[in-house]
Amino acid sequence: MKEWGFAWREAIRRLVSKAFTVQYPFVSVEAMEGYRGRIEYYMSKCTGCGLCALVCPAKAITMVKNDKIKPGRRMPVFDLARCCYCALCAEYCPSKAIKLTKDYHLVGYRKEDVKAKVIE
Amino acid sequence: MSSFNVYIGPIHPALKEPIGFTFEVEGEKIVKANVNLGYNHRGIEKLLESKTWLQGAFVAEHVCGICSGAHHGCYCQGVEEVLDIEPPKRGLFIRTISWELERIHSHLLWLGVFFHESGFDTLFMYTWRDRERTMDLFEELSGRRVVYSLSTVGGARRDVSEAFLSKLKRQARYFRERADFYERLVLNDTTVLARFSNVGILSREDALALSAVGPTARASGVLKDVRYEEPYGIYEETPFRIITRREGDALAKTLVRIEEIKVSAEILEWMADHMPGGDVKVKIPPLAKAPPVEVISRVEAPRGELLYYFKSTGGTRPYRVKIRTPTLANILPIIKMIEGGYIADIPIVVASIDPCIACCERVTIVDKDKGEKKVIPKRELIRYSKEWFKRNLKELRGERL
Repeated sequence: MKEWGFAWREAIRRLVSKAFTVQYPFVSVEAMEGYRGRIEYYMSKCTGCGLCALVCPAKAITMVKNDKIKPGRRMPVFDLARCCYCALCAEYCPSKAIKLTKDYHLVGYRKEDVKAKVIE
Repeated sequence: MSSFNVYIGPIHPALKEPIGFTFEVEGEKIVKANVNLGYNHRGIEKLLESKTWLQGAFVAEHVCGICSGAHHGCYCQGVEEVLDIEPPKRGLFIRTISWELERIHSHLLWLGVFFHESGFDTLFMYTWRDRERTMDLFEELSGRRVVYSLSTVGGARRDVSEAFLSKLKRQARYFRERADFYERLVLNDTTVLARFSNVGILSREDALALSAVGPTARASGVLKDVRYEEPYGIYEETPFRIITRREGDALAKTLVRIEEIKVSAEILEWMADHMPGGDVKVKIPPLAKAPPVEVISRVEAPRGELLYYFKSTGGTRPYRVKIRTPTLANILPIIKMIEGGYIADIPIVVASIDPCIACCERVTIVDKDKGEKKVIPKRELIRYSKEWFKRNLKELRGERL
């Protein structure tokens, strides 16, 4: 008899309480402060030292020749499909040119949807 | 047997080692069990040899999706020994917060899966909802929900705020209350008791002989806990209890894990009160050089003892890394636990060790009288198990309680 009372009380409590789940594609939850999501890369701050490519455990960063800032300088290119979002590149970057944002929507129909955000 | 390749597939966040069992049965009873391991090779140990000491930590944490913090911390702890670095106390505290929070998260996940396998889906929803709170805490603590990357060689990567510590304390109290609720639920429900008690009994002698680890061993009365045997990190000064039970059945394993949730919550509350100040880490260069040494690092992961072995020949990369996960030690006790039981008890017994494997993916059943062989996939087996239990509930109540 005791367990029936326990069960009924629990059942009624759960019937009237709010649902815990979120209808995800229609309602989006904002990530917490300091979330490690899509990479943001500030090209103007970058010195092209290549430390990010050296520390990256997933080999997601390659240094490619880029003449936009200075002719002949090599700049990092991020492959988010390989990235494990450990944020070691942001931690070791001496000029703070790499930042991990709160954007966790990292799935897309096109290749451009899973690319790092480059700010020139 | 052409569909044998179903075994492959470690694409799940957990360490899914494909595994096969062969059971010899007489009617419904299991006479003999055999386990076949080794269908899958992930190459993680080889991959670690090509990474620097710093990078390896982030490969090691991908060994397991559920105890990634334990793998990450165990690797970092070993490499600190190799490189002879003394991490600051605050860093160790933050690392231990991740370990204990992970124990709560892993045990809640296991409770849910265990009850789901036995057909008790309400409790599965309950525990997974509570687990969501640990995930939120991890998101705030480390920035990710599953693979935390919180530790690093030389301490922890992020500092915690006072606001987070008070929130952690509040949540720890909540987890303790919930664990009390689950304990009451398990002990008061006769259906749960009929399903779990006296199923898959592992005696103390067998647990010792087959070197079971973690909650599986502790439920059989073996006092085995790395935190107590060889205190690492800050466990030397942390007050905590070790939970053991004598029965060794599936119910004892459930109760040990529920009690461990409470202990972990108590440790978290203690740590929030005694958090020291200072730095969180010692920054090491990306290409740190190690002297030629051999090091063993042990950590009590949620499932049991986790072991990392490092060999360095002097260089920026390890010469050899060996990982022994707790599930490997707990596979053999399954054979002893399952002998004499029913076919329908297989999912319960195999799930009771908290396996980190895609176990039961395919089960071969050999009928001794007819000499027939049958291959049953996991889903079929669980469905059969639930139906069998419903059919035989009355007799089981008399037999087991």
